[in-house]
Amino acid sequence: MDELRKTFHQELDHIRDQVIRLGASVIEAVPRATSVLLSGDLEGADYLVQSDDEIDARAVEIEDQCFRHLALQAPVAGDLRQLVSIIKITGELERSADLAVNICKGARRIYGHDIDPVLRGLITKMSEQAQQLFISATDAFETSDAAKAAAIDDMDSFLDGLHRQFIQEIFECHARGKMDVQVAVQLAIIGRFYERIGDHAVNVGERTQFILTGFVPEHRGAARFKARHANDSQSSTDLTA
Amino acid sequence: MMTAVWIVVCSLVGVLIGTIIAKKYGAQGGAVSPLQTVATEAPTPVVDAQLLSAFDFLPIGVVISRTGSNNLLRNKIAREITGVRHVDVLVDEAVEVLVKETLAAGEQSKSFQVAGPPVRYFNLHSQKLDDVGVVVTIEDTTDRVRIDTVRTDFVANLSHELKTPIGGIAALGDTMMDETDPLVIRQLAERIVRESFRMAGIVDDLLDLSRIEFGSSSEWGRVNISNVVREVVALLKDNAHRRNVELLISGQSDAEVLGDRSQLVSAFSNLVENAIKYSEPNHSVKIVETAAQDFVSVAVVDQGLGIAPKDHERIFERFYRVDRARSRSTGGTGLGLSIVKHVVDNHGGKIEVHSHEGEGATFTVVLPRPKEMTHEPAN
Repeated sequence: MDELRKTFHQELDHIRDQVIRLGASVIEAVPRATSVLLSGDLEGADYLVQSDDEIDARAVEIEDQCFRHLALQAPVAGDLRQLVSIIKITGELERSADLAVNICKGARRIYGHDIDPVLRGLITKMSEQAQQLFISATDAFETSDAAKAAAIDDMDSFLDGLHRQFIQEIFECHARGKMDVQVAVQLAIIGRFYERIGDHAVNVGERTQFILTGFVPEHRGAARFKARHANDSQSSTDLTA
Repeated sequence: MMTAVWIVVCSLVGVLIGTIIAKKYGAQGGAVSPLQTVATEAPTPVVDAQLLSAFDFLPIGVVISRTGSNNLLRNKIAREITGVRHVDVLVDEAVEVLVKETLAAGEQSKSFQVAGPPVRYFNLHSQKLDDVGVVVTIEDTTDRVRIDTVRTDFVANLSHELKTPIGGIAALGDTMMDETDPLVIRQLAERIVRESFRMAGIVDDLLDLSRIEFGSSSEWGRVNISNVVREVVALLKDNAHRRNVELLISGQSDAEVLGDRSQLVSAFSNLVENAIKYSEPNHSVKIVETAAQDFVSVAVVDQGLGIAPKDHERIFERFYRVDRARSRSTGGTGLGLSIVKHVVDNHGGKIEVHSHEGEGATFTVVLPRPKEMTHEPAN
């Protein structure tokens, strides 16, 4: 029996390694997408779009392995949390890679249009921050560091701030007559992609917290909702009584 | 040459690896290899340890893999390259893929790039040791690729900077020959003169750069940095005024350094001139001087277009242009920052750039103050 569990844990470690590798691919995809956007590199865009298929395939493979272990190994406690969380983390990583691809697609749509230097600077900063969030998230997962995982949410606030600044600058650029509406809209959408990548990194951090502590920040919200719901039911019972 | 070195290294690696594997696992089927022969001569654990340490001295990363086990052995470079961080994970993954391909199809080579930042380049080469063993060498070629890029860009940029005015002069002269209107001829002649001055500027800068590069100076002595800054501001005041840019000086300390005054004036002129050139009208350029016990720093701060971080390393290369399309409109020879870098190097200092696109740029020159020139108390 012990031998069986040993094999299971080895396989679990293998799955974790695969998740770390998937995370590394996402960390790599973000600056590549930014480079495509800022340099109008259509060939680079094609490369990234195609390599997303590989990321999808790897994500599916990780999920399949998790499902198989859930079905065959009946994991409990930490192992169960780990497998369930990895399924969710894989989804977050896969979606982030999709967003990097979306940045490339946006870059294709505005190909040939100049981007204002201020906006270029903000794009670079958003990209660096989004990448940094994922580096921290995968590091926290890899090293089982709950404190680091919890800090990612705060780090994301900086990216949100940059995103707001980016949108404001798009408005100002457009008002100065420096940018077409079409380009402005595409850039606003692209900015949103970076912001969403940050959110996915936060989710990876939260899921890592859950693996390590059994707690996710949503639990607080869920508890509040339940409490409100219980109060409402109580009030309606009182009224009908 | 590189190929020959590579072959020698790979052969050595092969012998070393074989010895260790043969010792550790014993001979496994197949033809008898020289490695197995070495193994039958019963190498001692001391020899094994020496071989393992010898690996660490190799200038490339080496990973030995055997089917059915994790990577057997990594030398020091491989341990440093492949590990935990995301770049390392990607290299690790590439090694794993290469091992599988090598077991299936024999010797393999692969080059790949990691976006970083900073961008890094790797060459992987793998060979089969036996039916289950594979050796992979990992070479970090980032520096080599960077030097190649600098060289090819230099040739391209140089030909662009020199050919453009020459082509312009030829075309203008050609048009002049068929022109009869004196007004048009005058306009064409003016443009020829302008292009000639531009070329003369490039040649002058190249000569300056060459002189500075060799570090030859007969005017080495005590230089008051604040005076240099004041002189530069006086020189460029009119230029700034024409562009409606304000020049502001702060922190004048009268600190002295050992150096060549004219070289320092040339360096700071280039920095301030660039700052003026890339500033929007009604903005200011600040020159901030800070003196400490061991050094004096001068920061030139502008609110102009800014420079993307990816270009920070390259802007000091000769003829490097962040945006080549804009080089004609902004003018300049493309050698200014290269001159600055060489002057600063000659003076034993360093130059730092802090900038993002759209946020202006700060170039900070830090020059050492020789101890006998500082006036602070000893303790």
